[in-house]
Amino acid sequence: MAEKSVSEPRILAFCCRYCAYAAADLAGAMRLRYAPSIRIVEVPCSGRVEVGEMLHAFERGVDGLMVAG
Amino acid sequence: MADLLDQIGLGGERVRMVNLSSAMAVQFAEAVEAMTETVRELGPNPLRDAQHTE
Amino acid sequence: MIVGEQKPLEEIMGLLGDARKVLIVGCGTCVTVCFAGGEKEVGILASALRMKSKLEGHSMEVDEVTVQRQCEWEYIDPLQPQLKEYDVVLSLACGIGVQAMNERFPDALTLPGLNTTSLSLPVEQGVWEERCQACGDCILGLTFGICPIARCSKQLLNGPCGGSQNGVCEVDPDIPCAWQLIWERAVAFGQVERLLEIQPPKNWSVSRDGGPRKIVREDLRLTHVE
Ligand code: SF4
Ligand code: SF4
Repeated sequence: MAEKSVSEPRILAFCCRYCAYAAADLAGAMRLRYAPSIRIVEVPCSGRVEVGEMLHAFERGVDGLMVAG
Repeated sequence: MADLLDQIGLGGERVRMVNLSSAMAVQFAEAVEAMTETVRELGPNPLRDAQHTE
Repeated sequence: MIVGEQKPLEEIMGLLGDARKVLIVGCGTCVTVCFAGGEKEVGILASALRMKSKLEGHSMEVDEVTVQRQCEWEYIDPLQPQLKEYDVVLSLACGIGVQAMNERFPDALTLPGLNTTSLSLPVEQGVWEERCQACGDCILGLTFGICPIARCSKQLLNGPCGGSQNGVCEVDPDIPCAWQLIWERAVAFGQVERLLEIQPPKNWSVSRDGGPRKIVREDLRLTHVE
């Protein structure tokens, strides 16, 4: 992740392809405004996300993490 | 998971599970805003400083 | 299967003290299937320890490895060359695995990351119930396949006691009375008269009362030709 402003939180979101990712897509299409803090990783299902992977994200320095499905 | 983050000392509020359907774009944007707000209050991941001074 | 539970992170940190380099060794058998000490749990614990130690200001380097079975020399021997790189080894196997590591590699100190709890049955996803205490003299044949040693709070051979109430044990209403269950099985098989026979005291000398147990099978031993 590129370092820009330290103050802007960096949040990683694991999004299910069929629900949350599609919702994010729609949000884009609807031109909804939301914080630029989010980085989305598309997963086939939110059940796919493992605790180990979430911990690795924190180890690498994310400030917050969302699992959305 | 939140419990584990608490034990580690990062704070369990840093992780959140959200349930959305593909039509819930507005809720998605709201969830992102809410999460950003929570994390802003908690401050940056304390591990980051430790990392960058290495 | 042998069932264990991970120790709290705080306790593990305490055990590790000021070690700088730690190797976590998982086990791919019993503790993997009870989600306590397999490859996944090793990864999670390693990550948690790296972060916690960093936050507490004494960064630990934590490496991970999982062997198929930590209680057999053949599987742990390959670990030997890498062990000297570490201040301490943390095992996520059961107590047998931890001791196997210490016996095989006396120069490396291996500490336990789990509490080994019981010989249990996974009755449903996420629930393990104790079923056997390895008493050395199995009486399941007398008790219609239900073990009163592991499942009766008082290990009675001639139950139930007067504390059996509506099918549950007086010790805790969450414990089904083993002797009630045994009785019901006897009724179902039409053999209640077998329970009317008084069982004499059990031979506990083959259990822990006789000291640590040991099995020697001469037929299986390798004979050493001088
Ligand atoms: S009688 Fe002994 S060996 Fe048999 S199940 Fe019970 S504890 Fe185990
Ligand atoms: S109530 Fe049943 S399980 Fe409890 S001690 Fe008595 S016989 Fe054993």
